[in-house]
Amino acid sequence: MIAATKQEAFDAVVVGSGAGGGFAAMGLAEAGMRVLLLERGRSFEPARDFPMNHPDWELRPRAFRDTETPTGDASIVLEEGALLDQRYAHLASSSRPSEALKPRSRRAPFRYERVFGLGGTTLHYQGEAHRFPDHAFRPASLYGFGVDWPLSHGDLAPYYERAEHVLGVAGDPANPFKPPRGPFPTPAHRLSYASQRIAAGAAKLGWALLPNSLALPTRSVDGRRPCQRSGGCAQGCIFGAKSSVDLTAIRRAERTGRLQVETGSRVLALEMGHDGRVAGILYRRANSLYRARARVTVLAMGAVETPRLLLASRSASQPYGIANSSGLVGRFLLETLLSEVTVRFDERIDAYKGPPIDSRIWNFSRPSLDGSVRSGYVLGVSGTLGGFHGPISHALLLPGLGRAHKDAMRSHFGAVVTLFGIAEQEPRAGNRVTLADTKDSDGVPLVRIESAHSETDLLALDAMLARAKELARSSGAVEVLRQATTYDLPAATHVGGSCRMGTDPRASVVTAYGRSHDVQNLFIADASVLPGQGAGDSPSLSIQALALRTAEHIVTLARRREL
Amino acid sequence: MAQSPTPGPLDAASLATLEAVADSIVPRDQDPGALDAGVPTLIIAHLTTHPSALTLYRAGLGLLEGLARRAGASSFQALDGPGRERILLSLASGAGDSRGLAEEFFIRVRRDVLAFYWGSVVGQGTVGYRPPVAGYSEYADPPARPRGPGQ
Repeated sequence: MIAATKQEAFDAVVVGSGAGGGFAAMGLAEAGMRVLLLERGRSFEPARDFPMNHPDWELRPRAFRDTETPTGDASIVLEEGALLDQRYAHLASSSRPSEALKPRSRRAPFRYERVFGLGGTTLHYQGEAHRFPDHAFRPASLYGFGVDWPLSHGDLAPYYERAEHVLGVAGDPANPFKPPRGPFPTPAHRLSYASQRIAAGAAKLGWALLPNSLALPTRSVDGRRPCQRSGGCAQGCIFGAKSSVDLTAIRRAERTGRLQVETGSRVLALEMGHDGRVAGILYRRANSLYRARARVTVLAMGAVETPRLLLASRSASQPYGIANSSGLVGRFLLETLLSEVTVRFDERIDAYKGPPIDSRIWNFSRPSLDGSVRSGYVLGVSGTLGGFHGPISHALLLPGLGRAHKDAMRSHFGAVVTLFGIAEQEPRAGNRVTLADTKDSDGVPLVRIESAHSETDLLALDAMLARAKELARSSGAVEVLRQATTYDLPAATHVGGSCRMGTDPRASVVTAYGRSHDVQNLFIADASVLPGQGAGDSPSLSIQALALRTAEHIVTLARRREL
Repeated sequence: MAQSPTPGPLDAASLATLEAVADSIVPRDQDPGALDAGVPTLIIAHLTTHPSALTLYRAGLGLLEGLARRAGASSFQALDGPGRERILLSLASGAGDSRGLAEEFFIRVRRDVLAFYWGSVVGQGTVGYRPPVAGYSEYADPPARPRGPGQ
């Protein structure tokens, strides 16, 4: 099939419309550039497309379900993971009440919780909007952990602030574990009743459970409804209140008249010119092939798809793929380090009401001073994690039938909450995305994920599980219903690192501005550039701030004619 | 109480067995049960568009009838509550000569009855659940107790 070359002239093509792509497109369009935004999925209308408008919402498919692996168009070869270190077998997951731990020798297949759709994974994220702490930018210097970033918290602060205003982030500036800052665009949510209960337990331990900073505005922003505390962020906010990128940055970019969005467009390859620059972007829309041309290409497809495209766009002149003179494209993949316990109280706490993750404990954000736990981590409270959300999920997770089951529902429903910890993974070159021999229906090679835990990672998982249980006991929980950790069940809600940024072209893929060291008109604006994971904080806001910084740099270079 | 299902993909005997199964999985007590929530009707509506599930249900309901007669009853419906539960739970461990069928049917019918009951407004009222169509403005307040029977 011959690709039709688009006649429109664009200054920039942005591939992917999630946290990074949407903000990069906004930054470029608002600065006067003509932008083509290519998104593989479709757009969504909250009131029409999301299921929580119905009592039986748990029976209805999530709007994004068919676009997520492993149910959707898989990009990852489904295979068992690394050998498990049996010294840590007590971390194994138990997913049902009373279920005995199942011994396994290898990790389960890698789960990649991406979303294809305008807005990307912000369509199903839970709105956490964190500025990474200052020390997370210098972990190697401060703690001998990972790698220092090529920029500081101070460098990123103005872009954090701009992103927060676009999103209408709600938060409390009085957080002693974060650098000093001004007020958030909207006031913090009150703690949910469940978090109030956990906060009392945390206080007994000397820990502070604080309001989370959330892209769930408590006041109207850009005419949208404020957060209604439905707890339905992951299913898609039926109120259009959650600040997903499609409703915020992309709308702002569209208002400039300089953004053209093409949904249903799957990019297949980058085409290189003889001058070593990206000359074209080959993509499929429905059954037709197209070629877009622009002065600048910005990749924002996420930490798996971006390296996949770069590696798959190999040619005789670029046998190791594009932008890969360092050999690091795909390496230093960071997955999510997560430990959680779902526990029951002997009274109603109705944790399913309110923002899904409305509170955090940052006491452990700095690595342990005694060296036992070198990863920074945070603890949190969720009424929707762990599989227990609405009545149907509770009913199916409880064993038995008849009157006993109904009694169990009356005692469990509304009394369950999940306490979790998320840590920063130690970056290792051997954890990586590589191309597989098999190809998908578009002829693009699938990827294999190699990801194993270091001793540092295992210590962090162990510590977080212990802290979560300690917090549960202190808060008055009467029963542990399940535990789950990424020791055996990988999670990739926070994933990054696979095209890391840095100053040394031999040790990184892009600069601190997201520009390829090798290809002058190629930029990356997604989680793959992150050298670390912010000591367990959620990465979306950092991706968005970095994307704004990248867009600003592109505009500066264009004005100087240095692109 | 919800209306009985109209004739459809199951004959009268199978329908009666299905109603007894639904009533056993979520019985009426101080709160409404599966029959009050119209669960058999919802299952039959589902079966009309899912032929493979219909095949499983026909076979599974027939298996239950056979097990009930083997236990000395005239039908599954004729058994008392504990007798019905005993036979249903025996499916979970592969009752009779049809081990695979028994397990598959038990998992399926348990899931369907629970899902349709707890997905209904009637069932959700049992635990004081209100879907979030209007949000939860009271999210920071101590939860109210679920309503009692008859309220």
